[in-house]
Amino acid sequence: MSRTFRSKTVWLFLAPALASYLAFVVVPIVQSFAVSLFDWPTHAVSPTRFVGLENYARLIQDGVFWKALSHNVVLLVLSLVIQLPIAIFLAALLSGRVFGRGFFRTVYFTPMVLPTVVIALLWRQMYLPAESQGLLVQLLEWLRLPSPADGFLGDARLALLSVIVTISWRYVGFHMVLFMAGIEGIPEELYEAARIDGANAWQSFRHVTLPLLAPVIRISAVLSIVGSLKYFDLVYVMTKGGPPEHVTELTTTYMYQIGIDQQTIGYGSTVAVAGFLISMLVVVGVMGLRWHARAAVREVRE
Amino acid sequence: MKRMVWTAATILLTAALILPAGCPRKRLPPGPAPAKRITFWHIQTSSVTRKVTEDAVGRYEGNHEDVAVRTTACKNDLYKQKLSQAMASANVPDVFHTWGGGMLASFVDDRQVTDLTSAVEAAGLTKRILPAALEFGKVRGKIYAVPMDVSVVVMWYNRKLFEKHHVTVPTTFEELKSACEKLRNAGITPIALGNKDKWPGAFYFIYLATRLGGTQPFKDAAGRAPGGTFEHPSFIEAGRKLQELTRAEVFNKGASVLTYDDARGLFINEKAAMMLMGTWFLADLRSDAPELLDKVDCFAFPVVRGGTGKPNVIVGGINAAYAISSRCLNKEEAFGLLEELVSDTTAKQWGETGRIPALNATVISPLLEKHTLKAALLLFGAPEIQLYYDQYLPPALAELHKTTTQSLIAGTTTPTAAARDMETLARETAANSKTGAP
Repeated sequence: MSRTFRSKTVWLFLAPALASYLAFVVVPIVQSFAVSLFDWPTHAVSPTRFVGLENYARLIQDGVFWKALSHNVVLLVLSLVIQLPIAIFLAALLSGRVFGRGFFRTVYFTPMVLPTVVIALLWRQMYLPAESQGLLVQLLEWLRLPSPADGFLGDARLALLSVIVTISWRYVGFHMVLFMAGIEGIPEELYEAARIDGANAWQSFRHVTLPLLAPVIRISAVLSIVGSLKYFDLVYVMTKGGPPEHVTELTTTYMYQIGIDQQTIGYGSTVAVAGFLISMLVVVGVMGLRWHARAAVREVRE
Repeated sequence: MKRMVWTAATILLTAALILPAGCPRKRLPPGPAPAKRITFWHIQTSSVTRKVTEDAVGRYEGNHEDVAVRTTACKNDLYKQKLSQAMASANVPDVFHTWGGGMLASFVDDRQVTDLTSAVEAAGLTKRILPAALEFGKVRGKIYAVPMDVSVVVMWYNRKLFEKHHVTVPTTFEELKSACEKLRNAGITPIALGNKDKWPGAFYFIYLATRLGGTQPFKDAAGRAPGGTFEHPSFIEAGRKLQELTRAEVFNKGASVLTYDDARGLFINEKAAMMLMGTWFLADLRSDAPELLDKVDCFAFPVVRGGTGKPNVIVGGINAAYAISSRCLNKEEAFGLLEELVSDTTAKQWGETGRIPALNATVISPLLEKHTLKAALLLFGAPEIQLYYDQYLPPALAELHKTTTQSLIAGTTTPTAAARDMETLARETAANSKTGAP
């Protein structure tokens, strides 16, 4: 097989994916950017007036956008702080010889298999006020503990946190599976050596499992960060960014509200482009850190 | 060879998936080609209302063998854009659905629609069609569209719960409040409200504003007439009265989290006694809890002391009205189709689906099922229908109207701030539409 033939074959197989990627990802991003420079009134067939960066000036002064972005940041930080430690803990637990290991692994992974809408409706129902059969509030009332009268999502102080709990519940299983795969890859001899040196379970976890899991942790973190910045579906179904006054608004739900509900397509595209640029910036930053870390490791080895 | 066949089949299948994007079209019947053709666009995509609409078309074609109607059923959400595009090109449908209001008026300004005033009068339809509904088809006093359907918002209540707790049907705002207090003290949620999607709460604001100041302040504010403003006292006072209701805890807990379905659940489980909702509420009850129907009755939204609005005005809208394009070549035939769409046969079938045909009381009263009739009676007594604000306003302003009302109910904004926000955006929108016109 000649080299040119092989590279041609490679291109041939890549072409469909590349074409659809260009058509459905790259082109729309470029188009969104173009549209964000226009005023596009409702019902007009195409953008009518070029306004340059006017939409971006409006965005910078738009308090709701910054509020939404701050919610994305809260989601990002809490996802890292809640999801990853729990996932590592569960993975470590289930990697040992635990009774019913397969059962627990399946149970924790189940939320990833369920459709987002199902999860959103299920948790929304649990969070409802007592008279609407909200399970959690009813439980708290039965235990005579303080509970939010308007339900968890109806309380402006609890709404965002409640949504984040649901999101975490969903993704812990996913990260757990990643970590389990990582732990499988750690040679058994290292644990043996640690035992011979007199390490207890915590010490061998701290000094063998964690350091060798670092690459997987980084992957998990990157996935979690990107996911948090572009999160949409569960929040949209559960709260639509409300209720009311944007207490659970994310940049994506805000974009939907402006672009689709209000049909202000130009400014909606501006919000979309801003969200894209911010995600891009953060991801490039995190990847940069990763290269940096890798270079440092190489230096130490040499 | 075999591979070529496969490739061809794949390409064909892919093409078949991609190409027919858009609205499905009815095929022309076989046989000799009819001499006259009419294109007809409607938005009745639910199976029952679509059947009634297309049956009417079928009857018309049966009676006029020289005419063929090409029917297109479009999704509600896509329709506004599709029609705007058609109007901008030469591909205008002969007969098309309209909601009336601002969009129909702009088509009239562009001379895109046929003035039907004399045809409607000659056919005797002015006596047949409900005057309040016919108003939606009018622009500056002339008729441009014929309505076929009308839906209205009334206060539904559980008669058994009212009797049990000795509550009488309230006719004033104060009576409504004291009825609610009685029910609340008896451990019953007075009114079910699911306001997550914002439109159910908007009904309260529209009704209160209409009772307080009549329908004119909204017309002036939305149409940017001289002196028209969303900061009109009736809008601010409507916000105050609405917050009076929320402070009196007339609604269930967590109203801004619940959906219309959740709130209906409270009403069905008899945990809540009242619900302000459109006539479609009955169709939903019929499928959810038919046994409850006999306990259900309705009353008109109470009057507010000091309000200058007519007390019987009802909030509602039309979900099917038809206009004829000015470029239609067979206007006589097109009008014949309109007549069939409001004929007795069509109206009877329409009434059976649980909808209210937009015809006079004497025509439709015998056609309606008894629960629908109760709401229809309130409609017949109404001198005017106040269209839902969000159906009348341009989308951005419509959203803000619903958002500010949701905030008023949740207590996170004040009546004056809500009114000021509306007025600010209304001014901006008006300014943009002037400078931004192509």
